Amino acid sequence: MNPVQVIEAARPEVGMMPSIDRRHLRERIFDVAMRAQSEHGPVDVASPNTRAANALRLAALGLLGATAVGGLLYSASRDTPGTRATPAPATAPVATSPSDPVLDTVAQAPVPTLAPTTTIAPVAGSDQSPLLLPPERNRLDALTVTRAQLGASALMLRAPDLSTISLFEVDGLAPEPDVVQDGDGEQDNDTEQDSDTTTPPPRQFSGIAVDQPAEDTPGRYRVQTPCGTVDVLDVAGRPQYRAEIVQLFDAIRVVDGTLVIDLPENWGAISSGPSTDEFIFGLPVDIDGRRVTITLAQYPGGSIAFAANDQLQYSPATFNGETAWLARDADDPALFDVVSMVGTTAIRVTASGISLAEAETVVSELTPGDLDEWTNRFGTLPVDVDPDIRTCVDQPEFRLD
Amino acid sequence: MNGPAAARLYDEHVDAIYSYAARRVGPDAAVTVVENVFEHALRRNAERPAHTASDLGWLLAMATAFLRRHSETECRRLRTWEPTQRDTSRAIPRVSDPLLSNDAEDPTVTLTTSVMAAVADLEPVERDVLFLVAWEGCSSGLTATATGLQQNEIRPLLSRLRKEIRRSVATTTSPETSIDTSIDADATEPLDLSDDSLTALSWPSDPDPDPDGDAT
Repeated sequence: MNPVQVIEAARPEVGMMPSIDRRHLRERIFDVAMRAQSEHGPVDVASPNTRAANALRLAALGLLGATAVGGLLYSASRDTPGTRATPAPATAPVATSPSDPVLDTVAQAPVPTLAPTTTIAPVAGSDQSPLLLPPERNRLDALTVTRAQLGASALMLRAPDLSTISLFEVDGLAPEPDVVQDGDGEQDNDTEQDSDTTTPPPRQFSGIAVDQPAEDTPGRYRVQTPCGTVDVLDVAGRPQYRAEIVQLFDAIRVVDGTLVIDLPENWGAISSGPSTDEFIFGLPVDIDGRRVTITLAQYPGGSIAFAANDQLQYSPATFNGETAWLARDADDPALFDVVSMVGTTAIRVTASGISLAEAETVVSELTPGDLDEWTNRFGTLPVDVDPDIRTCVDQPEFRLD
Repeated sequence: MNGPAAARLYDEHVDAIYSYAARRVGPDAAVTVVENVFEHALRRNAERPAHTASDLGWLLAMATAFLRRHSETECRRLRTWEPTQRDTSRAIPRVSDPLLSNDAEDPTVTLTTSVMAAVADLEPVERDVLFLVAWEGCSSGLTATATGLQQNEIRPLLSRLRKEIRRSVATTTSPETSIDTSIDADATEPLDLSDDSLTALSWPSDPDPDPDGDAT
């Protein structure tokens, strides 16, 4: 074994670059490239500074000089008393050898055009720039992209007691009948409740049946539907089947899978919309010397209903001049979620220990961007969208009457 | 180079550059080297020598130059070479029964340690050539591009380095170590030195000297 072979045999196996470093560096690289492009414009890398190129430049300068001198001499010879000659455009052909490149030395006025001469700044939340991206070289704390769920949608309602209630439906298969073990060990598909199981029977309302919330998910009701699932989300700490929830369930009927909601008096629909892709990043910022992470979730083409689809209690607010819905954590009042719209994009900002105004400032300083910019900076989107299993006919959807 | 082109360049070559750097100076310093390389590549893209035929060769050249800032780290690692630095997950498990082991040092390990210590004493450009060829599997053309040497200098240099390392190891190891000290061993070198129309890159020894670096 010779020394090179010894070195070869000792070749260390190194793993991949740590993903957080890899991602952070990618953002920096992209940022440097974008800055260089905006500061210096495109650089012609195909024209190295060679001796031949310099000779061409000298020849061009010489031709320019000769043309200028010729033009001056020509105009001087045409001068007459009392008149001021306008310098003729230097269009006279300059004697060149056949091997010389033909150079256009005439300064051409720009051709009139109706095309806009200024660059239009991207508008946040527009169809062209639906996303907000961090402008600085920040190391992001979190970065996830979740694809939209097929056929899912959300609805956000406000009850007369000003509590908010979220509804969420997802397309899917028909629910499986309960599987009950017989005494002989065989399985029977039986929709009747078995005496040994602890699951309480669904509660019947005028037009629907509702499964009881599970012990580990208080305030989460599931409406029985022919296909898919429909969840009604109330704040977890509220009494089960409180009056407003009962009033809502009494106002719902299922027609061929569609949940027709005849909103009672003094109820309001805050927002509704389909499931959309979710883009999340956690942005560390320094505010008054404190390091705070602001998490921004974005839903291009989304809705407040989808962005606020949880069991929090939202109150009306404004965020950067737009109508917003603010939820503060009951156990930690410094922690808040605010949901609003930026153009056609729904956003959800989560932060702790800062004011709403400070969060507004941070978000307003983000840079509008599109999907390509996101993937260029942060990598490609996950491609694993849910498989379409919607063979069931009566898929759920919401309809307000 | 615009943003998307920079991102493509990064995605395509970051693994190769990181692996090259991590093998030589460890994972922590490797991240710094990768960062230096790609930022420098974007800032100096317009000054890229026209005859750097491949992006990888160009990036390896910069990585090699930036690795000089970490020469001290590299030499320290080589002089205190630990066999555990090699991932043995695919190797046959070693006998761990203490009754079956003996206290004598493994001659293979001893040999590797001696060779690595000898490599630490080489000139930086000589280490560059050795590691580019032996660890990264670079052709002579790519090695020339990455080191700034002429392509026709690579093979003679390798031959000289083999002899030099043999001499160095011979003075420090016992006779039972199995290093081949015959001159004919050069002829059996399994390296691929056949390919390439790449020409050498004249790259400065350090593109952007860093006074804060640990270069020696």
